[in-house]
Amino acid sequence: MIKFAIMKVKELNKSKLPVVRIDNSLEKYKDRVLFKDKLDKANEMLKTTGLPKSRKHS
Amino acid sequence: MSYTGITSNQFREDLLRLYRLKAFLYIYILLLVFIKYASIIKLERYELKAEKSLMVFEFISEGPKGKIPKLVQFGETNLKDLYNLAFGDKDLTTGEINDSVVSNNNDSDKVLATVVATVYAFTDKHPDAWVYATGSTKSRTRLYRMGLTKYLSEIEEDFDLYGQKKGEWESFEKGIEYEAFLAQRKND
Repeated sequence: MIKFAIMKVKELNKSKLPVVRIDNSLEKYKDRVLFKDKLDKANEMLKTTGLPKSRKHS
Repeated sequence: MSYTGITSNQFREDLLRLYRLKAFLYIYILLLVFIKYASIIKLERYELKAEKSLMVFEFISEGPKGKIPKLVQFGETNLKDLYNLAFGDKDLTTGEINDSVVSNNNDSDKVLATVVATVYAFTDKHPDAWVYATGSTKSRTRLYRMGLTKYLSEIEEDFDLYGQKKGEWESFEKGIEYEAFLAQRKND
């Protein structure tokens, strides 16, 4: 039965949208900036570049 | 037309030739199926864990260097709806992240496919989000570009993808060096 369930997860995991298990122990990272240098660099770069026009709602 | 005597041998040879051709065709089809299956296998990825908002993910890379826990974070930037995608190794003793370490765990394709999977999960929960990504070094940005190029047709089915060149955004194209990448999920 367990083997079957594992197989099922593996099969499902081949679809584009992955199976994600919720793990509450990861909540502690949510409000932390884990990659500060990268985020600072991104903010600096985006200050001048901004965003392209979204094609999403056009 | 009838086959008798020597000509019946001819018939057998013709039949044999036909069988050989048939066998060759079967092998050819099997090979095509195998290639198709192999291209699916290459998108194999690790199982994912995340906190509820799907902004922080964890997975375990497995390879010759052992099991290496990795964290992926979609960090809020100063621009609304724009998130910075970053990932790196988790130090098991401190819990801190190192995004410049090169793990060399012989699974870079699988790791990249897993990170792409987190983008699917994140943008499914946050459909209007823009995801910004760049490497911690030029060579790593190049590695990401190669990964994006490799799966470009699949990615473009679901995302609008842009590359940043000389401070400007343009639609992502193969063979161009970009400084950073930006993706937004297309409408379903």
